[in-house]
Amino acid sequence: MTGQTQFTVFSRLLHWLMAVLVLTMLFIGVGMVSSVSERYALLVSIHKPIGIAILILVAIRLVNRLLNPPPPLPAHMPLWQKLAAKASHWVLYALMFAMPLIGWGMLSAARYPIVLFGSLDLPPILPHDAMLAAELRHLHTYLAYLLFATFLAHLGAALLHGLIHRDGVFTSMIPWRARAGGGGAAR
Amino acid sequence: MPLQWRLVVTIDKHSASTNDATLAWPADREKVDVGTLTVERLVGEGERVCRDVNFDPTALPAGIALSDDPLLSARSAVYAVSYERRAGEVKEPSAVTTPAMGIGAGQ
Repeated sequence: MTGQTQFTVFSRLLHWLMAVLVLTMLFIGVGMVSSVSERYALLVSIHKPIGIAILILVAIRLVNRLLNPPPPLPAHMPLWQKLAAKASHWVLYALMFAMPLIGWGMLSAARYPIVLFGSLDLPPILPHDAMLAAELRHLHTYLAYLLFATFLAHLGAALLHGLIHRDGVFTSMIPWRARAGGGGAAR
Repeated sequence: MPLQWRLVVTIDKHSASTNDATLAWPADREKVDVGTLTVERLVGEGERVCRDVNFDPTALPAGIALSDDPLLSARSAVYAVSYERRAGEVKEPSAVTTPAMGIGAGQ
C-alpha cells in the first residue's frame, strides 16, 4: 500500500474525544430539558463547560483538518456518496461551532450568568434582547435534532463501510493502528 | 431613604432537613446577620429591566451555594421554560407606569 490510509493520530484523538463529548451533550441536553428533578441543576452546570470545551476543540480541529487533510475516499465510491460524505462532515463541523455559540448567545441575550466553574463566568456575547434569546433557544433545539440526525447518518455510513464494504474508510478513523492494507485486503 | 432588608442565616447544627421545604425548623436555632439587601431606586417594567430577565434561584452570588432542596432545581427548570415562552411573545408597552425617579434618588 502506498499513501496515507489513516487519519493522523492527533486527528483520531480529536475525533473520538469529541464524539464522546458531543454524544454526551445531546443526551444531557435532552435529559435536562425534560427534567424538573435535582438532576436539572446538575445537568445544566455540566452542559455549559462541556459546550465551551467543544467550541475550543472544534476550533483546534478545524485548523488540524486544514493542515492534515483526511485520506482520500476509495475510488470505487460513487460521486454522490463522496459528496454526501464531504457535506455531512462540514455540517457536523458547522454544528459543532454553532451549538456552543448559540447556547452562549442565548444565555447572553437573556442576561443569564454564564457560569463555567465556581466563580468563573463568561462575558455575554450578544446584547440583552428577550426576543432574540427566545429565538436562539428554539434554534438550539432544532439544530440539536439536526446534529443528532447527522450523527446517526455518520454512524450508519461508518458501519456500512466497516461491516459491509470493508474498504478502509472505517479503519481510517479507528483509534488503533490499522493493519497493513488499511482493511482493503479483506474486500 | 433606600429600603433595606436584613439577610439572616439560620445555623443548623442538628441535621434538620434541608431538602424538605415543608418542614419548619425549630425556633431555637442560632441566627446570624450576614448582609443587607438595599433597594436604592425603582425601575419600570420596560425593556431590559424586569420584563426581559428571568428569576433563577440557582443563579447565586459567590459565597452562597445550592442546598439539596429539590425545589430549587425544579423552579430553575420551570422558570427557564416560562421565560423562554414569554420572551418569545410580541410585547405591548406596559400599562404600569413608575416614577422616573425612584426611592432615594434626587433627595
